[in-house]
Amino acid sequence: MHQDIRQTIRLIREDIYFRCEYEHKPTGAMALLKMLIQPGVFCVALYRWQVFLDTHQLRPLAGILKLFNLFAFGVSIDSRAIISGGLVIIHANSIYISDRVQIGARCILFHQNWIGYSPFAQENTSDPDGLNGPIIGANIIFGAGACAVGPIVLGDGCKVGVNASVDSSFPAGAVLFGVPARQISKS
Amino acid sequence: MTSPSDRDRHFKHTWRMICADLSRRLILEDRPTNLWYQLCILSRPGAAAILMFRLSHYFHDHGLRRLSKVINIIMLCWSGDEIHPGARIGPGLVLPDIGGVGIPAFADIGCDCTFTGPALLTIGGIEGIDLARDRIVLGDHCVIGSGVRIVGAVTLANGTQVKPNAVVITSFLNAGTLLSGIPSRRRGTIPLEKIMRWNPILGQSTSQTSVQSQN
Repeated sequence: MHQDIRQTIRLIREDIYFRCEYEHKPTGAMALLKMLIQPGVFCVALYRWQVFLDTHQLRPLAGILKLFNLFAFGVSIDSRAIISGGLVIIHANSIYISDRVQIGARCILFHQNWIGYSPFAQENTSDPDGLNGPIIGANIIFGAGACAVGPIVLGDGCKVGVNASVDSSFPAGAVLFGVPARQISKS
Repeated sequence: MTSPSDRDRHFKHTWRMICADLSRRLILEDRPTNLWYQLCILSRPGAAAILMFRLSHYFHDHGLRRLSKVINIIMLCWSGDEIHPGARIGPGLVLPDIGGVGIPAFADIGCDCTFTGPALLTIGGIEGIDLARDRIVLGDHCVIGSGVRIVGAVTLANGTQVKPNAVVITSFLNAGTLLSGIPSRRRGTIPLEKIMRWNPILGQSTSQTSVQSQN
């Protein structure tokens, strides 16, 4: 994913705009700038610049930004995770997103989310592409403590409940709950 | 499993443990394991937390409880991990990236374990528990997922893998068990050789991930 400065600024603008929409706040230019004070917004903006630096042969600088993100907010987003515009982090605390992850537009994360490829040994490692991380659609809400682990696909508009641990694929609009997650209803 | 003896009380032993922890993390991240890289990896809060735990464990063993407590508090502020200096932890512990791991004094953890996120081991408020006798025992090559709670005097065998957000309240004594759910149940068994070759940071099978096979 290659992005230049204008794309980066556009993505950050989308993130903040969606956050303002979500919280029913004004969306003027000054209001958007003011939102950068919030840690959840600031760490997403840091991640966007991390991707910018990573794609412009400045990997060490991207690593420093990632480390700063980790120290200041406890948010560790790999610069090779592919995240569309409109990522919202409500409480920036203990969030981990690994590389090999795709997240669609307008995703909402609370705290202690863990999204990444599986750290657990697989029973069938015959498929080398099965080691990918989750592919997550648009308009998804992750509750506090929700995890998505392994090569799974979540459809658009899924809602993942508090402390759910998703390790299998689900269709669009599913409401997931439990450990391991099951579909309890359809929205 | 480590046991306190005269050999373990020597600082050389602590130094070896620190080197084993840092070099296992470097092996898992597929980097060279020389001293310079070991210093660089200390910029990660997870690696620094383990260094501080080893030092505080050394001082705790030698009766300098106040000093070990100070190091423990620095570790808590630095990385968010809260590992009691009295815990017995084998070489090769890896805490990748985000912190929040809570390990109490009454925990025995084997070598080459990985805690992938905030996890808590506790024996709190349970009837019939004798803190002098009962311990939480984790075998070698365990992988503990994010948000896992291990409650009570639980023994987990070698190569146990606990999936995210599980709550473990009973012992599982078969090697290579895959646990998930609240309360957690066995979801499968994976051969131990496969688990020993598994790289939890890169998420793939590799030839060498163990510090034991190095020596």
